[in-house]
Amino acid sequence: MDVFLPIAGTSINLLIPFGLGGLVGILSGMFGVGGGFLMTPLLMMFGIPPTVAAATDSCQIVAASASGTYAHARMANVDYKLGGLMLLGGIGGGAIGVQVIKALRQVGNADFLIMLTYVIVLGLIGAYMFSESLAALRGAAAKSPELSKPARFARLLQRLPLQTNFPKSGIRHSVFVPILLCALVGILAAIMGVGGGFIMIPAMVYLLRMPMHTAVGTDLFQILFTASGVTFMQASVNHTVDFLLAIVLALGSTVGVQVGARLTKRLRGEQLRIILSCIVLLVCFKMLYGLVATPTLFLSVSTGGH
Amino acid sequence: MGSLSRLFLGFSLTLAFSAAHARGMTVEPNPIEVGARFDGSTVRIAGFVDRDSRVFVIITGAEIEEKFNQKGRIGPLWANVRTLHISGVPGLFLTASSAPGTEGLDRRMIDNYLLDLEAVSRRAIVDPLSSDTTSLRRDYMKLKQSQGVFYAAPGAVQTIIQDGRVGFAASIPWPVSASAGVYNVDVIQVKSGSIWRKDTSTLQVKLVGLPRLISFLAFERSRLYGALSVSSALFVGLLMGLVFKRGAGH
Repeated sequence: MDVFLPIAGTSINLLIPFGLGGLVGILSGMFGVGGGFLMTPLLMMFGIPPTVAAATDSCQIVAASASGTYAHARMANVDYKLGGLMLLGGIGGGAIGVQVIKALRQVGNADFLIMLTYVIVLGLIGAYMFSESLAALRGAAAKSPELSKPARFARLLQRLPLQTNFPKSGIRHSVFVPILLCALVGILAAIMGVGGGFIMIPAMVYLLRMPMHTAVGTDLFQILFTASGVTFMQASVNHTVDFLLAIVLALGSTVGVQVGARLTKRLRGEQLRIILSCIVLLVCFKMLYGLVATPTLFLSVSTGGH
Repeated sequence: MGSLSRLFLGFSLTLAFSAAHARGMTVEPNPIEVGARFDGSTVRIAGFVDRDSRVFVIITGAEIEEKFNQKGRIGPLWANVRTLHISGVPGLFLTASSAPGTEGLDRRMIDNYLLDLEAVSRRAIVDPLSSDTTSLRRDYMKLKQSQGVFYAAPGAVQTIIQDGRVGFAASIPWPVSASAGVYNVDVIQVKSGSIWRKDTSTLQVKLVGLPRLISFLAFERSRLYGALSVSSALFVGLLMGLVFKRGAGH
């Protein structure tokens, strides 16, 4: 069942991208993450050039997030009001992040700084989520983070102007909170070259104090728009979206995301958080290994971006 | 030589003699058609050469310039420390030669006529230059060989005497990653340590069917391609959502 991919310039057995899409789709449906951190290196392992892998992945994220948003919307897990504000902040943050990365590249050692930031951010988030959800599972903390006593930082957020209710999430915040939070995550996501779901979900749960299921649904909603924009730009400007590969990945990921969305209903919030924290820590260790292990080749094809 | 090899060589020589005697070689298949089921190919080159000559069959693509990241140590960690450009080399280099290959030949002649992989490596221009240029060239060659676009098979050109003439044939694996375009096919004969004769032909690689349509849209109608990519992904996502909704009995 091998098919030639004209943009990637290679052939691949269709079952491979379908299976990869399914695997990443389950993660998307369960945790609201785009899965770019996993899909891009997996595609590269099967001979897809890095630039094509990253761009094509963004196209399949459109399909997975559309399917995931639809599934979560049916389960009333999407906060559209909050999602709209997050989208606004994310777009602005992404644009700032692109400028930051340009400046870092001019200074030199930008890639090293990016990798190090990635490892530190992922390590901190993963470790915090793991210890908190483990304590919740053991019953040491009877309350989930969204119900527990607000931290000093959360109380500070409550003093900001233009406080508004977000009934779907059951929270009250200034409109600036989701915008600024997503702008910050957008900057980090642009610098690290990923969608930002790994940072966004913990931020929504621990800082905005949203229920885990609503955080997942709302994040998928805003990813749908950002991924659509990125896909259009990558296809029309860089010509790096492989349409055939994207559709097969999308078919797999949309099946996976539906399975993932159903699995979230069977798991409690702290169970979802501990699984996500383990994945975050695994990615962190993998990246750390990449920084420490001596490479077999000292040259790699430059993707031109990040 | 095995009976299958003899059969192939005999068949190739018959074709070579009847189809392209004037050029001195046949290249098959030509053009290579890259359709939806394409998974690489084998290029067969055959013809006649002078007695007692060493034969080099070389397929080359146009020269390219590529951008790479170079890894280096920063404290205990490895990271991309600089970007460099490598140019002056063909985008594709596939070669097969009759035994004993380049053994005993003058290095300058080998380099001038690109008779082996080392000659390609020596031609690579690394910018900016540094003290580790040799190791960078070595890594570059490894990378290209792993992609299948640089390949050498010393001793893979077979020769046979037929009706008093010396025929040759070579089969060279064609990588799936080679892009569409026109490639040069050179058959170089070396006699008494120097170049005796060089015949040149071309090999065309063209996209057909679905790959052609997608490539056309991606490069010639890029905005439409972008809109099509996004809308198709949305359609697939929502369609699967509906399918699952029905499957779940909602």
